Amino acid sequence: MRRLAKPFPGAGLLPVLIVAGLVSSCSSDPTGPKQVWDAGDIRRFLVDSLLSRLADSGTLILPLPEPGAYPQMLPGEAGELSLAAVKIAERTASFRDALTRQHGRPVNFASLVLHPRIYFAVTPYESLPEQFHNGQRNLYGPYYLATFLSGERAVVSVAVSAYGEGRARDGTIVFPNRTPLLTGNEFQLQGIPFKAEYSIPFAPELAIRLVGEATSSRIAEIPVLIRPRVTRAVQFAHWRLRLDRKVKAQVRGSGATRCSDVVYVGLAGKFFLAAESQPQSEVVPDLRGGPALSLEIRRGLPVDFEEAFLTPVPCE
Amino acid sequence: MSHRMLHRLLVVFVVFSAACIDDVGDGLGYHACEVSQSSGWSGYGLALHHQEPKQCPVTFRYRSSTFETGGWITDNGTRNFTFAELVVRNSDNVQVKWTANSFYESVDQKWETNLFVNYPAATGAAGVSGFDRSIFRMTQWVSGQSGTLPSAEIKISYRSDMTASISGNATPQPYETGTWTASISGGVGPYEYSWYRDGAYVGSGESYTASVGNSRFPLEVHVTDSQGGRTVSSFYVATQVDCTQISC
Repeated sequence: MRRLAKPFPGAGLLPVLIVAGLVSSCSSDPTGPKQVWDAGDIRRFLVDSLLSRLADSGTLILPLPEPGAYPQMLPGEAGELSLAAVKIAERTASFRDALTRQHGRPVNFASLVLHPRIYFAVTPYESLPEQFHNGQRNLYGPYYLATFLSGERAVVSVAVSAYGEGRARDGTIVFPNRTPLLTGNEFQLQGIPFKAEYSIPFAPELAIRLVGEATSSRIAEIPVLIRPRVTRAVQFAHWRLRLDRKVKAQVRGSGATRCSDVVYVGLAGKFFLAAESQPQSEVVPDLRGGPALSLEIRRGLPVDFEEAFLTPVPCE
Repeated sequence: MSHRMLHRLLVVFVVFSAACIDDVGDGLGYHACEVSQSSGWSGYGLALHHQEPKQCPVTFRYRSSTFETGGWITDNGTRNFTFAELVVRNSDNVQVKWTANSFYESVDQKWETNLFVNYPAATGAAGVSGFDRSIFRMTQWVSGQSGTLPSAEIKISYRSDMTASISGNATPQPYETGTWTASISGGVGPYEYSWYRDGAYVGSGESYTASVGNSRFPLEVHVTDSQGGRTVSSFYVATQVDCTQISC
């Protein structure tokens, strides 16, 4: 049986969350497939300059989020909020129903434990101006992704808006005292399919191993998690991996061959390339009645992807 | 099976059928509170399951208590909706909360969103005797055109868990001095009392003492607890007026 990944060293503040969280009864269902957590030794898949970014546990030390256009919460705050969100989901029938549907069986809330590793997903969108509704500013902004486990199984993923103004207090969420209070898109909860042998998001070390094995290449930069288009759940985020060389890849469906040194790993560990044609902007309606805005998409952060088979064949 | 049993089964069947038809008809899968307005839901495959509050009236403890309202919205049809909004207005029609969530594709390929908010309840002047409103509206964004359909308005009514009663002489003699006392159940002390005689404010305090004169009158005590919870109790004082002297 594979062991649970050790906590991310940079998340030293987080153990308190686990204690404050829901107590594990180690009641994972023994009949389902075991999920893959441990990427093993990934040093051979990293360029030399990245070796120092590996913790003793073998996990990557990911950088702290860079400041955004609006005040951004810290990973620990996002973890506390995700705990409160799961508490709310537990007592709310429609959340429970949706999570059960997505997980494929009833969620045992009493057994859920917050995984100490909380990922930050950067946004490909430029910032919405301040006059836009907070729910829209949250939606187009960055998110944190927290995972709840039952035993070793990833059961629930919670995306927490990094721009959200709510803060966890006594198991609930408290917002600033303003009237009217404009909120929205603070959370996206998703049940992780019971039959899935992966977490959401995919662990970056596993993404590195899969890509390294498929391409016989080494990873040249710390992976960056990119949130998807706003029309998809944040849980569809992709890891961007830059290789130390270009390799050939075949686009699934069209069969077209492309060369790239940047590949993406998405939900369920699938490989993607950035689509050759990317939108420059996206039209955003102003819910507060102002004119719609053409919101620019940041260079180098794609929103459209093509699933691909990766090969170790080098390209010029 | 007797005709009577068949009849009973038929009645049960009709009742259940009617409930299902009602759920589909207004686009709202579940709602414990009264829907005061609902339009535009048909034809879109949208379903709003208004999950909170679970029962109406909501038991009210004190003004500005935090309650939850909201529901889950699934779009099984056009997938043309970008935002779902939930506005909460109090009995003064003041907007106390406005949340906007996006529809998005979930990991199991559903097109849905949820709208749940905490809001300060009964902040309007009517307080516990009034109602707040949850107003849901969908924003469509197709070919650069935005619109707001469909919508639903749900009345959240309240029930105070504080009660008051008045004790004292209900049938005093003319010009007798009487004392009436309020008793409170529930709420959080200390309490503030306002006494009204025939609709006019006449005093504060736990008791009210006055001459009854030669008239009959209603007595009301309005009680506010330390948390802003309010309740009202009334009592009718039927003075033993001499009907041989004056017309009654």
